[in-house]
Amino acid sequence: MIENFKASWWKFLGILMLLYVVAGGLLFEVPQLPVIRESIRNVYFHVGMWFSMMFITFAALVFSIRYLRYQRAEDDLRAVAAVKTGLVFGTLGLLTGMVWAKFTWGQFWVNDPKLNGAVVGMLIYLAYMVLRGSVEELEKRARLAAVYNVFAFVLFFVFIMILPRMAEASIHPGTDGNPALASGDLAPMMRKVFFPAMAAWFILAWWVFSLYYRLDRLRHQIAELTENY
Amino acid sequence: MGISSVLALIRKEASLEWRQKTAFGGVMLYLVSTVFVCYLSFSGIIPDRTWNALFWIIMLFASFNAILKGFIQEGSGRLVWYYTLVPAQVLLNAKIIYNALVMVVLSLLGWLVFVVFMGDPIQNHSLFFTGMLLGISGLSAVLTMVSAIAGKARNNFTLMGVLSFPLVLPQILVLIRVSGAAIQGEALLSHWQGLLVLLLLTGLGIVLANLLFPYIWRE
Amino acid sequence: MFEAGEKIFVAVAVISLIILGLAAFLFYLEHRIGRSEKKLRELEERLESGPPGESGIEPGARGSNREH
Repeated sequence: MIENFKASWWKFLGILMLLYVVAGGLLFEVPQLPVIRESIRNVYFHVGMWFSMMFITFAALVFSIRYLRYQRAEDDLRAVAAVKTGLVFGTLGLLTGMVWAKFTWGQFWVNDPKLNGAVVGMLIYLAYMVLRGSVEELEKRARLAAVYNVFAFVLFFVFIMILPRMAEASIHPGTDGNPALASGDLAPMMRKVFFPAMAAWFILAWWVFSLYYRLDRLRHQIAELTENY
Repeated sequence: MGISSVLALIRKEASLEWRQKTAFGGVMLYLVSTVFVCYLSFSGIIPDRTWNALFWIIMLFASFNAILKGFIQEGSGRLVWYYTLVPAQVLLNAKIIYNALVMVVLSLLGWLVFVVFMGDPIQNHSLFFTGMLLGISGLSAVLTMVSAIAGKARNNFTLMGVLSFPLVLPQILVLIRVSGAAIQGEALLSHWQGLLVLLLLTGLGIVLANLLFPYIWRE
Repeated sequence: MFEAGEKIFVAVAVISLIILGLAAFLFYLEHRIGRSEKKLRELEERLESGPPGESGIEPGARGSNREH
């Protein structure tokens, strides 16, 4: 049990930070802005979820590239686990965003390059899962999925970098490409919750990812065992 | 040696296409009947914006149909034979160029059909066709690559749509914006940003396809 | 039951509970996965050390596993 605790101290830290973020995020003072008002507290949650989605899908890209280079089944399993985690956090980010949009912009959905980019990203990773579902052979599945992941990620990245800049106006903050990080965007009094919040969401994402990975690896190993014996 | 084998492969694709005229004829028929259905359902009066969106959506699906043949309908035996003859990239680039040519022909014919049934709202044709050419080369790179992936998996046609839709969406959006400007009669270079983005996406698609195709090709 | 100004504390409590529940669920999953990993390792060691006949898996059980 003690060993267990030593290995997973960062998970406890993440949970404690999340609890702090919930309390601090809801109770501490925030700047009073028109329209957004108290809903600005959603920054600690919505932005954290999207950041961890980007973080974990970037990890998926790295694993896919590593798979193409070294052809190790583990890297493919890691890539899938990361994509699944990304889909979970993307869905959460979408939901929190929609609630926020309802209260500030009056609708659950508005036609905006940022929001459309988010949908395209989710569609890419859903397509990735569909692709995996339609190839039987493990090696071929891993190879095709890795190729698609790299191809799609790079195109998607360029898309979300370029398109918001081309649009005439965006209602979503952060047109320069990094919402909430630009110096003018975040009031100093929010930093003491914002940075712990980002760290906490990243830790949670990594934790979920590691569980997905271990579960998939177990399935993979059991399938191998039953095939060999 | 690279360029001459690319040209030879393109010629081979064209002669194969010519021998199986029904395939291309099928895509043409698809195009004409879709446009006709639109003509009937809009009773001939169609706003410019709708014309624009309809044109590109119909072209996109017609292109899916045409490009799907590229890797999927080609028997695996013949693909193995190519494998022994030319490097992977040569085959890929030949397919990309050939598919782009098919799409250009298709789009021009599609444009004619549109003009016949629904009129021609375009005021600046040079901007429209420049955008079309750049957009199509990018679409061809992405669709060829995706058809190579989908060709290796089951339920090809569904997969082709599912995999390529999020990837071609950016290009379609920019394309629609550029051709929208053409319809309004803006000057050729007033939308240089859109044209530049299309060019950039084309280059990116071709580079990525060339980097990644060998991994799909190896069996 | 609560004053208007105190409702926010209820929200904090509820969300904290959800997060604690999530943490408990994840730790539970981790525990289960860890146990399965250990079992699998032991099984693999046994399979490697002895000939397949003595491995503890009955021939019939193997047949049914394959169908999965």
